[in-house]
Amino acid sequence: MAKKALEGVRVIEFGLYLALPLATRMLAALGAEVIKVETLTSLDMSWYGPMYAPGCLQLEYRPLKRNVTLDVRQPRGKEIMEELIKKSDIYTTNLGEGFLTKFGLDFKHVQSLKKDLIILWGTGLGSVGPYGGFKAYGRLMQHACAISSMTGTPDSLGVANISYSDYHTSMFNALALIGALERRRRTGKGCFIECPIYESGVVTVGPSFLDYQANKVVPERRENRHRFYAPHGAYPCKGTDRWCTIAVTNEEEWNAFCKVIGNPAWTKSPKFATAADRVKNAKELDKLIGKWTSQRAVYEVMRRMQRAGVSAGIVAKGEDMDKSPHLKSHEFYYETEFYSADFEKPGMEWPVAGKTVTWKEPVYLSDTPCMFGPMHKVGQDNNYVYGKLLGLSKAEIKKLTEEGVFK
Amino acid sequence: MPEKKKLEGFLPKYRVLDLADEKGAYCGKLLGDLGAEVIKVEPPCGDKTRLRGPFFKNEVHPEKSLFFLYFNTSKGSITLDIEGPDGQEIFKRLVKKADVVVESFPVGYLAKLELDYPRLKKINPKLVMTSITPYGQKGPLSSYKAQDINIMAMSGYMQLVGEPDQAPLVLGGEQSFYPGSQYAAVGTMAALYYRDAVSKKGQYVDVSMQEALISYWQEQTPVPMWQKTKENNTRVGAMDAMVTPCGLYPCKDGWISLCIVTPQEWDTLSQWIHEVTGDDEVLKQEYKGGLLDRMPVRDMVNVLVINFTEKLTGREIFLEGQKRKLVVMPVNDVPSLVNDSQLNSRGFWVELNHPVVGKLKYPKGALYSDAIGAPTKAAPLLGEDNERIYCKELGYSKEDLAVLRAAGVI
Repeated sequence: MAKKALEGVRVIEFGLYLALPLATRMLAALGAEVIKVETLTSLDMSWYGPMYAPGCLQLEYRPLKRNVTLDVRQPRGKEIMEELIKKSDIYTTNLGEGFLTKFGLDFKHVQSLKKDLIILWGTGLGSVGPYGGFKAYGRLMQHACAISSMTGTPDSLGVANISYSDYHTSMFNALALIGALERRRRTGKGCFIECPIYESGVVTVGPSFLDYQANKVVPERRENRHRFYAPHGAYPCKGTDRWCTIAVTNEEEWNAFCKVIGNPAWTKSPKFATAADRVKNAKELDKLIGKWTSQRAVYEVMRRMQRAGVSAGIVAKGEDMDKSPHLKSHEFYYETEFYSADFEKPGMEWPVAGKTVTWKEPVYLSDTPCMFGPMHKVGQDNNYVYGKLLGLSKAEIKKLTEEGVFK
Repeated sequence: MPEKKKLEGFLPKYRVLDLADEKGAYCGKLLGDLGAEVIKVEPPCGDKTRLRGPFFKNEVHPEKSLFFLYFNTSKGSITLDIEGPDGQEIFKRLVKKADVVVESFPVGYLAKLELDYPRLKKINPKLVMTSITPYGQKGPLSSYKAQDINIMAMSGYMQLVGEPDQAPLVLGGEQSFYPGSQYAAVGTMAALYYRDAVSKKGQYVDVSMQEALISYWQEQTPVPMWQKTKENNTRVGAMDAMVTPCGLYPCKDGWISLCIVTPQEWDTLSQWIHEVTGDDEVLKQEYKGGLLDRMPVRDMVNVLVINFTEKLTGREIFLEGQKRKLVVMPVNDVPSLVNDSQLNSRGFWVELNHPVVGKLKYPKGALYSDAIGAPTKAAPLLGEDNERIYCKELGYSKEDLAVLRAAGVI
């Protein structure tokens, strides 16, 4: 048996979307027993994505997690949830306060169930304060966090087609939870932690906060150009929508770069003599470089630059990541089964929809390597959790299943 | 203002020797802000990120880099030339007492100095060592050089930013410096927890910034999509490709973002638009419905929404929209965040005093808990802990220190 960093730690995941399940995915990979509690009485739309292979999105969130179905809106369901919490080290949720309170699972009550329980609550714009309880979507969060204000062109904001700050939230969650386990080991104390998606993104604005306070500088949107370095950008290459990024940060790299592109006469122009000149005339510089790159294949540009000691990298697509010898050498992706949702039937009866790849946690620990493996079916661990863990008899489990408590 | 409570550290005072540059500085900051004792080990001339802009009052000076200041809160600093034999001996003595070494050197650099993990582990079997590099320690790309933009590109992230018919964009604010360090901090903590709870032994933690960033857009399932459809994810711009209205809209004083998914939300928004513009068009049946229903009339819907958003300020639309239970979010910039009422009400901004730069406000972090304190101090001056570490701990005299300094060791 491989050694696991978080062996013996039990985590309840009572939530959905992206940030929280990714945090517990990490904990599961580190060896914690993560139990995802969900109900089939309310439709989870994420089971239908993506359109080209419905169900495979779940592989991004569920690998290695145990899974039970439980309707906490029923009195017996709530009681069982309480028993489960009592047997756990960590309880995580990102459900709204209104819902939790309505079903008698407010945090004060949950904390009273187990003194040294570690509780993590994922919120959007925050639980209290002027925006307390406001509604939020991950994709819009990049605007609230000012990331889009620093991205793009002077007159249009650059937008990422993703739930930007949810990912930061997930790692802050994981870090806080392992830290809290260590604190509990040391002091015997549990704790309550809130992590808003808003603040998780705001912290990544970074040094610009200090620049504004000290120098009244508001970040400009400069496309791919850098404030201090040039050339610095994504340059068009042969083929459709193919780009290679190049970044030159000092004289040595500039000379190496010029050599790679054959030292054309323009590289000797006084307009590009010093780093400051190159930054000042970056637009013109970029055009000249683009003429050279656009006649070459994207990988060729990258390799030639790297061989000369210049930082370069292609703008990768799924295709490039699939074929990447480097990612293959890390065995970064692995193949596993996914399921096709049918909310009319118990999760155990959902058919295998196919196989596809998902990624391993990008942290390589030498003694306790992160684990990877299949996702469990919805309700797959009902017997283990309700029987073995909570000690319910087979007859009781059968009865509660029939009554819809385990739906 | 937040209450100033004397807290025991959330994390134990792990000693972390931080040799990382911009690629890994955030890892040490995260551990330090949560209570670890992080000491930057800098070459005698200073860590190279001290010369990264922007600078305080735009003066290029090793104590005035705002980049360095941001990523090095709650840390101390000693100077040490680990390339020379004397410095290496001192480094090994430091390693004996350390819990963690964090580094982001080019792959192979520390092995050449005989300071790689297999060797340091012999000196201190309890040591956890964490490396944060663009492509990890192994594999064909491990020797590739990378700046922020190259990692954003190679992870596929750039492919998703910007307009479909234009160049892919890098996110502002050098965003690749965060995910790798976040994973590294999690991996380091897991290794420390396992060490202290179970094994009594350290281990090695290897993080690839590229893979960290790939996982930061996994909701688009890029590789499954390629395998199943032979198509690739791409940029969709400021407007959502499936849902209307959803995206960025111009308002009186800038931009506002909103997303309408359910039929009920559209009814609420169209009523509100009608109240503001008096235009009956928006109430028409053909615009009603959920998710995909407005796609055929997308252009007209966006015109109706823009006619409305342009009449109000961003803040008016945000606060009133949320009151009406709509997902409306502000489009902030740096000044608006520094003055944001929500962040202020939660004590998010913490004022730290730096001997050269003075008082500035820094983010507390993304976690709120009675158990977690705020960053304890501003970034260190170069070598500010030399005396404490070298004299008080390692037993060098002040004269020894002068000799080491003259020899360029510290």
